[in-house]
Amino acid sequence: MQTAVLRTENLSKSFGGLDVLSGITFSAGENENVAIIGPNGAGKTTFFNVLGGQLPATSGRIFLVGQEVTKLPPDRRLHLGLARSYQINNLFFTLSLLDNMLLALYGAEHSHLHLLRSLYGRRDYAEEARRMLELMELWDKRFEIVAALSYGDQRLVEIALSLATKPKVVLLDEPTAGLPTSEALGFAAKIRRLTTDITLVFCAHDMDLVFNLADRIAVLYFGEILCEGTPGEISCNAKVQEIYLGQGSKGAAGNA
Amino acid sequence: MLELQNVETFYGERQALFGVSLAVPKGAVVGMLGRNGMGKTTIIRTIMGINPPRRGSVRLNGREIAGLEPDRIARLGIGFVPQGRGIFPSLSVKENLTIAERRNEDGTGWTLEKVYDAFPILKKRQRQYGNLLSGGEQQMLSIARALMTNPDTLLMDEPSEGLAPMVVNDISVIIRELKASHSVLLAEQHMNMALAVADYIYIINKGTVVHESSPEELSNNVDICRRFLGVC
Amino acid sequence: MERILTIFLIGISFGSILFLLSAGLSLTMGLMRIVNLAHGAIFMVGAYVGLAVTNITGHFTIGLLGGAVAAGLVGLIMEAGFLRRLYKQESGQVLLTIGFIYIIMNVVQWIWGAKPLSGIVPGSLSAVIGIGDFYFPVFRFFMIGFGLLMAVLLWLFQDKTKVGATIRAGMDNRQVATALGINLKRLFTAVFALGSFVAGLCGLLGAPLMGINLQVGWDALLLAMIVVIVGGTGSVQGTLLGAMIIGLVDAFGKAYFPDIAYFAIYVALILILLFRPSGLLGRPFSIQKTAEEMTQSVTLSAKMPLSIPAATGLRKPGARQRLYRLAPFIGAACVLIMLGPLLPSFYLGMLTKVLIYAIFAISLDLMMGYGGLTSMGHAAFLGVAGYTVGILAVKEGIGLFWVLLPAGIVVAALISAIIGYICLRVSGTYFLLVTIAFGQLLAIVATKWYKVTGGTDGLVGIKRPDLGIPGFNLGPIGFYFLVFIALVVCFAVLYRIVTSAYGRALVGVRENEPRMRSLGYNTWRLKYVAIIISGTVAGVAGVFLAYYYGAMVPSTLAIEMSTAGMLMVILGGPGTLFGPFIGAIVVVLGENISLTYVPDRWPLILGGIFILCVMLLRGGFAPYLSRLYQRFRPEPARITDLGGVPDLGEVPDLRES
Repeated sequence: MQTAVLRTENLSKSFGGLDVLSGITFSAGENENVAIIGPNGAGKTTFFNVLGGQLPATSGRIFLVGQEVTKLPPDRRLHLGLARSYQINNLFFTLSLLDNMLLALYGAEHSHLHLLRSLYGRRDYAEEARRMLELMELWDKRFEIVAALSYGDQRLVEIALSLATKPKVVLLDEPTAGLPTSEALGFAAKIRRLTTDITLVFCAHDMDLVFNLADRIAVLYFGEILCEGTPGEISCNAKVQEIYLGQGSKGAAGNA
Repeated sequence: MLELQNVETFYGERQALFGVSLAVPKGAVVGMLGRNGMGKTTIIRTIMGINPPRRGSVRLNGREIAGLEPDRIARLGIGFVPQGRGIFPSLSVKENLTIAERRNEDGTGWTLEKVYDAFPILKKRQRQYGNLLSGGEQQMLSIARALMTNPDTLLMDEPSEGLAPMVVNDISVIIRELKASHSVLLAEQHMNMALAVADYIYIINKGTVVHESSPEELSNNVDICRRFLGVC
Repeated sequence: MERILTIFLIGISFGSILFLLSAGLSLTMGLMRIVNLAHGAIFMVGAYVGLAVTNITGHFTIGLLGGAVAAGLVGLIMEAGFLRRLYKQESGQVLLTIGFIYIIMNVVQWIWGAKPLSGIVPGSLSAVIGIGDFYFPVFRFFMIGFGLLMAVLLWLFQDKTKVGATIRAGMDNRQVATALGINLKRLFTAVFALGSFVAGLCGLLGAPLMGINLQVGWDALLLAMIVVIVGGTGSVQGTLLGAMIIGLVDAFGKAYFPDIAYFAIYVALILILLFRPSGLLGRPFSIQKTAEEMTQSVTLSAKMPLSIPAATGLRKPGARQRLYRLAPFIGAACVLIMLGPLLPSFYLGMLTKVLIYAIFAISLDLMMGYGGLTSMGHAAFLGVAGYTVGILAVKEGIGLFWVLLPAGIVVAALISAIIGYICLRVSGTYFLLVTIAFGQLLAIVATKWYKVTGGTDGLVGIKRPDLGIPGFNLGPIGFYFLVFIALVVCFAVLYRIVTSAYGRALVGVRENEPRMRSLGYNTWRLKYVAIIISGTVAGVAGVFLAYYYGAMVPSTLAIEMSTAGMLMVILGGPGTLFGPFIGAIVVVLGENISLTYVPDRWPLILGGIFILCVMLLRGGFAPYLSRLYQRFRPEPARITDLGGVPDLGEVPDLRES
């Protein structure tokens, strides 16, 4: 058994009496790539928001490398090594690509009141920004404002921002959302390259991506984890097929 | 007749539909199946004018409606049953129905009385506020509200979402009955329901139509089902 | 007992007027999600027109109706002609309404003059009812009756009619309402006009309590705003509750604690904001967008070719590049230095004022342009610093500049730390409203705390700065240079801040606060520091303004001063520093020119500029000027040896974005 980098105990979230997450116990080990799948309204995005600290948990606990973070705000969680990206591009659109990267790198520092130091003054950050931009093949576009980049490039930046501070765990919400099929696969390869020594928890509807990237899959259904397993196990799981194809489907689920 | 031709829709710079073409003939129920996030809702929002297409055409009875304001499109005869039902919580059931009311010029069609006849439960609950209804009742209210606009085509976005199997059956019966008077475009994840009510099925995957056939044909095609609807 | 009953009735009658005044504001806030800051000015139109119609026709009732119709028409023109064109740009809509305040007030002054008029009580209502020892005017009862009647009518309208249901549907879910065929644009216009009509209706009715004068536009706005925040937006019951609470708090406060009664309603407001920001009843008011809307609007604004920094993809700046970048500043400084001894004293005074206002404008720009914190109470920081100088100089007889300057700055910093702490409890439009309230609160302190501040007379007799150099007296030119040095220092400090890592982070917060939080930033602290720095620099402007006028009066703290600062920022270009500086030149010169040629019409012009800016010139002058200047960009020298320094390419110019 690997050591759990991210772990939840009985995590629940309800909105005015409506339980969106009920008692989720989940863990992700070191360098593991875990996919979370499930139909609409299963609670995937809420799960990520509670993990990331964007929403408070109603009950239950969250641990990051053994330390409890349940009540910490997102900025404190980042400093402990938990980063996330968003389903919809959530960038600083009117700033340049380089500025976006540098802001993400500075985020790792505990104090942000560098009143008099230039954003470009830190050599280590500058080098790291360059390394990442080159890895993404975006170095040539570093001075362009992010709004002027193509959607696919923005998507990449979305993920790069969350990886900039070298977190221990990164949560990616629908990393390939909105990308055409032709781009999605190459994109998955880039994600793989960027997250080699990072624990990756992601959710996606795109099954090609899920099966390409995940070591393990957890199926979320009505706020609970229905089952977990390797990609092979999940694709043979009758219950999972039932959820996706509708109850009692005579076609796929039975014959599989 | 509602027709989409090579429709491409974007959210900001992000492309969501990559050339979708489909048709809803008069008096037919057409189902769109696909996993979530694949573009079904976007197709409905595009038709409704909430996210107008950047390229391609949307025609209602031969008339181009792409680019018109949503309220204009609604008045041209498209009824909207949104995902999540979109009931107005601070309006009573009756008000939810009456604010949508639009009579046909010849005086025929749906009226409050006829809607109450068709959905007796709504009459019983007419004074209650919308957010106090059960999920199934809300779904009926949402459909009834769209009928009050006397549309010729109904767009239904996941009417089975979050409903118990029994209630899903009730909704299926309602949709089948509507076929007599309306065309319906139905977005669904629930395959059996769609197969039971639709005359024709489109499968949507990653913003394009990847398969179209009659429901019978589809239910015999295990491979397609698994590839685009299941997990593998 | 009679006394309590009387006070109670006074409170209720005032509450009735407040209800009529606020009902429309609450409706438009609930439905359209914008704050119509011109609502008070529309109320004022109702009062003036109502009085005029009464005088012409001799009928009070016709007067009431006339005022209401006029106010409704003003609302109709505002919405259909202007606000509608800024659909989906809530902040632009709010700023637009400020422009209308100036225009409406000045047109009213043009027609009816600046002298306050007195309200009228029709003969039939002028009697006093007496039961035993208890006396109460009939007119007050009429107000109560009329207010309650209108409340019932409005409630019936909103809760029982189809149009009312449509309005509620629009508040619940705009998108679905539109997709069911409801024409929301038409509904917005109708509701806006209706709200204005009701406000106009009570203009004349409330005149005996509120007065008919040019100040009433601001007073009415503040009262209506407080009522709506306390009661909650969008519901008749909430507004009625809020109005009655404020009416009663005001009446009892004035009766039992006359010295501090003016603060009672502000205290109520601040408490509500801290503990129940959505108001007592009614729906939470929010213009927060969904993430999807945000991306869309951001991409929209980013498409405007205003803020694209020059991407030349070249090396670190060489000497010529650096010269190119500094040249406009050096040039401006040279011109200002040369103008000092050359200008005749009248123009030198004007130029001194330009520089002081420029300090004020660039300080506001840090908050507003870089931090996205739109404040309408920035004059408070300027004012407290000025008053500190005034009090120490006039009351305590301290003359030494080296004592007064730091004293003013420290007080401004302290006040901004306190006010900023409370204001940051809320965001968006509510932030704007709270800053208005605080600005007004301090203006009231300055007016009422006669012993210390000199009340409305202010503090007179502040002498030119004493620099403590024996035998040296600062003349006008010397003072000008002192202000010039202060501006250079403030500009340099702010420039350094906005181009620093902190400054970029602040822009990041403006662009996308949730993302900054998930990137590890404590965004609250970033914003709080911005407010304190901004307030402190405004304090510098305050110190010099006190010296400039040789006096401090309450109007330096007032809302007009704050909106003037806002205009400089918007006109010049928010988030550019040099833009607001140009804005200050344009506004101060414009004021002086208009005072020479069309005295009294300056606010009209100001309002017009405001509206033009918001509608046509969203980025201000600065981007146009900077693009013009970029045509003269020199070919940079190539640098090959980077000596181990990471090669980021040419460091881009950070001022515009």
